[in-house]
Amino acid sequence: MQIKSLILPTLSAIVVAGVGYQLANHGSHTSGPVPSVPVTAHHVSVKIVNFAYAPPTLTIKVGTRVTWANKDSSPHTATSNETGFDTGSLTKGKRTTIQFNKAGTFAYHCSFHAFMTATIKVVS
Amino acid sequence: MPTHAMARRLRQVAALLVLVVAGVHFQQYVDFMSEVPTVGVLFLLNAAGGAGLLLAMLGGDRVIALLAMIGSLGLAIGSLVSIVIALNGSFLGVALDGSFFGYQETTLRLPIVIAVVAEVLLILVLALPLVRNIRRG
Repeated sequence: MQIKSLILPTLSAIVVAGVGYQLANHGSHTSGPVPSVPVTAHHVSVKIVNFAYAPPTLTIKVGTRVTWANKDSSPHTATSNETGFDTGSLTKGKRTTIQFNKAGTFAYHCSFHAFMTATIKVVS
Repeated sequence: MPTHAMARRLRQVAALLVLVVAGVHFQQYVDFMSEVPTVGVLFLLNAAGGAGLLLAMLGGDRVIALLAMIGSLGLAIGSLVSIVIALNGSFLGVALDGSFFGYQETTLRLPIVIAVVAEVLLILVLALPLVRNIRRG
């Protein structure tokens, strides 16, 4: 068999394997509105996993402390889009807690991975 | 060593280096890059393209092998430029948005080092015979 005849099947196999992997990992995700988590506790956690914040939208009361915990192998931050808060670099397994003492809506992102975004609504 | 035998040996070395580059990109895609928008797809395309170039390079057809060598050179240069941008947020003094499609590397991880070494070697291994081939017509 000529190597030339293997090129297309090999390319296809890799792309199919990649797409299959993608579907296997994300296929069960449903589309729709992003879940918003109303929280009454004084201390809540945001997990950073698979290059995303979970939950992506959080509603908390003034005075609540929020802990970001990075479960990814890549370092991440939680940095407010405007002047506000910044966890600094969180390597795998690290966590940082910030207390929110002012009402408002705080959009934030990862300063290393701009596509990672989330919001915290602080209500009085 | 006769010239054609040396050229074949160089092609084999280049094919091995393409395998390393594509392999690292596929491993990184499976590890976590599949979660990263745009860059994840580019990693998968790098792996698939690398596999195709590898086979084309080892094929008997001289023209296809030459095209595959040019393609592999492009793959290596493209990958190197991409990682430089992801690490520095700029390339040759041209400031980008501080990342590569929103993705920034913070450290020189082992897979990056392996890929960069393979890409630099690939450029060196391919540039010489390619220039000679092009001069010869």
